[in-house]
Amino acid sequence: MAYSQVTRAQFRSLVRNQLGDGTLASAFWRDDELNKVIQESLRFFNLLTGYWKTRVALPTTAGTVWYSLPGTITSGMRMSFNGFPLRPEGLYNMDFGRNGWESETTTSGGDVPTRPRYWVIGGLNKIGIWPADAAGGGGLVIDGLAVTPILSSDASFLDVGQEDMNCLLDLCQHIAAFKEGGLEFKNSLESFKGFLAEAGKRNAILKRCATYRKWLGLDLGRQKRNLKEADEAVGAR
Amino acid sequence: MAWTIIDAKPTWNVTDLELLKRMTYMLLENGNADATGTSLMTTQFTIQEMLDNMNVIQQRFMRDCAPVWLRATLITTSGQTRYALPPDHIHTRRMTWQAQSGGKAKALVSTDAYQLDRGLSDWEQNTGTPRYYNEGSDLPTLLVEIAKAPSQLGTLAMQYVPQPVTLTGAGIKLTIPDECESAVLYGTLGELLSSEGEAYDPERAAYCEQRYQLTVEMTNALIMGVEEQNG
Repeated sequence: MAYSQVTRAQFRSLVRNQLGDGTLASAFWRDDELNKVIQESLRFFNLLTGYWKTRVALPTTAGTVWYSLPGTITSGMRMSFNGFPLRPEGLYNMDFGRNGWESETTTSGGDVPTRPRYWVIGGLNKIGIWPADAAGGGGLVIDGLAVTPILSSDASFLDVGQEDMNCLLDLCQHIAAFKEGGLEFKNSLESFKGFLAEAGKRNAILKRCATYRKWLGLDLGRQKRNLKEADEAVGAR
Repeated sequence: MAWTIIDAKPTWNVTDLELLKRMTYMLLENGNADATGTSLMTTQFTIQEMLDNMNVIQQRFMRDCAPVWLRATLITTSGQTRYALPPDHIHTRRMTWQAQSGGKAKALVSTDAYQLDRGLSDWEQNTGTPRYYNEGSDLPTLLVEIAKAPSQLGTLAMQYVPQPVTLTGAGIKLTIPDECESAVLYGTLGELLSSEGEAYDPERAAYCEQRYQLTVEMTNALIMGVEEQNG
């Protein structure tokens, strides 16, 4: 069930308030422009936090290892086959832990399982399973990061809880200030930092990103420490 | 023998026209009207300049993150080590070889000529089952070498990062997911704002580069997520 509390038009008004731009469509920021700013902020928010999730079902085809993900899903997070969860595994581990895995199916026999046990990410558009379903007709279910909802009209609802709107408004303000440049843009970086800090609470991986840490000044203390230097060498040894 | 490309290039929802409009607004080039994506208010930038940079940045992003893979196969000839790569090839993610007479498709190990010469000194003399592939610096562009040369007919299969679809401004969809659009948007703005001339704005250009890098890092995290879960 999606949130249906605030429409794009209502959210755009909130962004205008944040920008101190009044309610005129002919003001410094045009409606079309702010609609695009809002859409961009939703996509960036989704990238940083993985906010929207979805589930897709794919039927297996006989002996097929690799499947294309449908366009509604950006990245798989978990998978199951006929209701049995599959374990995620890296390509490197598959290739060097079980070389030849792509040629194995559920009827290969020996130590090959009789139903798929592992799934593998191949970029953002492919997933592989091991062993391949020999008969086909099985059901793969993929839970993952959904493509960011597109707000196509002013009546479209933002599928966002109100508790997250504040940080999205910060981001919109910052993006909108880009075209002003100079001091206005520089001042808006505080809003951006606020947004990043909120996003970091939702995603621990983000906190490990070097660019994120640099923006928030998280490693400044470490950079200020004196480097240890070896004592000056005297003589040949 | 040419490669058989198994997959079509995926597309998502963001179009080049949408990004052109965004950039028009962000560079104050729309005047007192909605951006069209086909014309600009001043001559400081041109639409073609924006498109050229968008194409360069989209290609750079594909190389930096490898978000999209395609599969391709090629029938190998007995005794032949060198094969041409597909013309839209950016980067090889993985290669396997399987004998046509049967057997499993085995992953090949990426290596270079230096290691081959010292670790497998007969690799040019004898044939056998290929175990390695080389795209190293000793090779001409768009060429791959497998070692040893196959002793029998076989199939070389590759998963590779392709060149993205060329953006023309006609509403072409990007070859990267919607969530990664900020890499192309800010990467392009960074190029425009760091070019020589009146548009030169090093502060905002540096900011744009950081936005590009953050998108790269987060996209890599999405792709590498599975491997990280396994430590």
